[in-house]
Amino acid sequence: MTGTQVLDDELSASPIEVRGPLQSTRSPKDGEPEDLFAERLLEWQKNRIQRQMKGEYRSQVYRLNELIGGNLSTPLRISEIQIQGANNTRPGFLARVVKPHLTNPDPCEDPTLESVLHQTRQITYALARTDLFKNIVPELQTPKDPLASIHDVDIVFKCEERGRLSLKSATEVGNGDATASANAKVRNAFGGAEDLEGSVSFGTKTRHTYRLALSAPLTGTMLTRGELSAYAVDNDYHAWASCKEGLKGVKAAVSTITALGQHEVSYQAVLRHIHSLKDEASLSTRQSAGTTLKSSLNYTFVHDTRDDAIMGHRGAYLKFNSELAGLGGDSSFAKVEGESQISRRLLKGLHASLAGRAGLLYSLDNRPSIFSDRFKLGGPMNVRSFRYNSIGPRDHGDAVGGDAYWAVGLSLIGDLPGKAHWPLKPHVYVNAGKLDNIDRGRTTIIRAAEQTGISTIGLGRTGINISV
Amino acid sequence: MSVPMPKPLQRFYSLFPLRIYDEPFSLPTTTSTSPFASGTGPAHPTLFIHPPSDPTKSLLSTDVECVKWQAYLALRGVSKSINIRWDLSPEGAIDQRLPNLYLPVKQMQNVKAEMKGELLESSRIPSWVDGELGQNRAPRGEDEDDHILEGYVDEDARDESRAWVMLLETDIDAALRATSTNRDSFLKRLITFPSPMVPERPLLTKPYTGLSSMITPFGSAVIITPILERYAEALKALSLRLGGSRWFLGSRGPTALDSVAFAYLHSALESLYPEIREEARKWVNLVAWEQRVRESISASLHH
Repeated sequence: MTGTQVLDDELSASPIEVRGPLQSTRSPKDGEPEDLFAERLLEWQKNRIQRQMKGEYRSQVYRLNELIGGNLSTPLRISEIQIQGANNTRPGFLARVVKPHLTNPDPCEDPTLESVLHQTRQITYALARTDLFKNIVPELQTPKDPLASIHDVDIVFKCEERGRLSLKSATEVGNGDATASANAKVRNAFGGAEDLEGSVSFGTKTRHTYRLALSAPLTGTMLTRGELSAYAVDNDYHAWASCKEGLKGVKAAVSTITALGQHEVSYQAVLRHIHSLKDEASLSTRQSAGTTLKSSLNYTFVHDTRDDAIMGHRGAYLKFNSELAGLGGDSSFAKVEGESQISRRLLKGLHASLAGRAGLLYSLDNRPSIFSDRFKLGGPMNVRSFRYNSIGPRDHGDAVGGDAYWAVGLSLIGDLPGKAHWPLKPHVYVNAGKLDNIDRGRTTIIRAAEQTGISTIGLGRTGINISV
Repeated sequence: MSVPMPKPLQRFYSLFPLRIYDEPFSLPTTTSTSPFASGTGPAHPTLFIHPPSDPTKSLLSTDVECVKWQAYLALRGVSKSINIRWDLSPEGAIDQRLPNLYLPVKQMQNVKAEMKGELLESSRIPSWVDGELGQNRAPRGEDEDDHILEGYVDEDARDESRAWVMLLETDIDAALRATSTNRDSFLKRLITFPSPMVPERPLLTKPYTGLSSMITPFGSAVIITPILERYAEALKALSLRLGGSRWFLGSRGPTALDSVAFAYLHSALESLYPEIREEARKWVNLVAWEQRVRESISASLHH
């Protein structure tokens, strides 16, 4: 038997499968799916890459934590701070924001890596409070200064600024009023986190409103802001007072936030113009017509710790406002107003809310108070089920306002059975209130207490409402 | 379309009746009232005018239209029962024009009247005065014929009075308005509200800004010379017609023309514009007549 014959015999005994070109030569491992083109394969590949990256990330983070944790007490000092990407912000403003955080919190001890990391975090928060940046990434880098020591480090904040110009338009319908408005805002107008805002709105009750305001932070902590604004408003009071009121005013305010709450002190000068009287306007409304000037100082305090305004579980709302007018102008009065609201859960899906407000206006000269300064009461925002501003003294159907008032409201709001996720909620409420004038013939405290006392049974209203 | 309230809800709401307390209305007191008023209570009519320049000296308003009606009420003998107040802005007046006459609640004996106070525009004042005088007694020196002739001696005089009133309310009124010093600055116009009552512009005026200007036309560069010429001619004619008579057109008693003439003469003599004042003072009989009538009216107003 020759070699060729042996080979032929071997070939015929074990037939070899002959494949054409481009046949698969894969030997799948690690659970790799058989089908090359299945979506499962692509998904498997993606998941494997993510697992690898996650694993690498975890190991890097672990190593970094080990590195940092083991070196927190390493002496380290900030040699330079750079803020990159803040092209529209003044360096002086940024320095004012950053500087308070550069002092060593413990002067007795030398700075360490731990203190540098704390300072980095505080500076990041401070920059975020300016509301100028949508992204802030801090980095610790080797100092570029050739004279820097080995214990020095540069902190570089890589920032991405927000857009400076925003335009917004809106239409709103509610509370018996329909408005269309447009708003334009220039953020960081002059490089120091100043906001320049202008707005225009037109509506059914508030005929038109124009407002221009410039606000700016007064401190590096951004907690105190100043604002200058000018506005012009034209309100339509034909439905309840047979007149219109135009307002043109300027306001200068300083507001700050403390542990107690928000405080605002402001000065306001406003021209009020009662005009466009209806033919059937009462004499009281006619006597209020014309132009008056009010120049006043105002203090407002707001303390709001509620987790939700309507269906809250904790906290309360308190607002106090006091105004002193008479620094020139036609109005001379002292006015105080307080408002409070609390909401608690009674049962699962049922909340109770109790709100109260009161106000007192005392004229400092012997003249009667002016219509524009008096309180008005009634409507969905204070005493529901009463026509807007319809409570209190009237003259021939025109509401003339009052010098003192109180109003309380108790509400129950709950979820529809089985539909807790719906925004539609049943609402049961009880409201009561009174608005009256002050009899100046008696002492202030007694007459104020008596004239706003509980003689209003019958002026209360109850109602059932479905609200969204 | 209103939806009727369900009866159970009506019964529930009836537990909380709504009461409206109806208080007797009275005008709130202010300092912008005549110091010689006999009372500011609801029993007296009140005439709302533009403020006088110095209330301690004279209650005559600085506005010609208000002076007209003050003179009319005084000369007809009803001003002693009327209070004068100037705390009502023109924008609160009927048709945004002063004066307005406020009539108090009429309290009839043993009956609390349903009617509240009513505010009358100036055009309704004569009919109110006629009603007041007709209820009480006829003023002295007048009879029924005088009432038809409105106090003039004959129909020709009554018709002539219309022409004189027209002369006063055009030529002399134009001169007074053209020379009034009530010119607001551009800044003041920017921060204040526009006055609803635009005074009639005299003829031959042009604004400070051009028609093609981007700035809204404001102000008035008045061409004063022809206005003053017509004013002088009107005063001359008035003086010649008055002569030495006690009242215009030879009437036995004061008439509506006398009220109008007094108002314009008084405003001209009190004007801050020298040419207006000096031109009026040239006519001795007019000055004497104005002084006599003013004393009579002031005595009535300071009752």
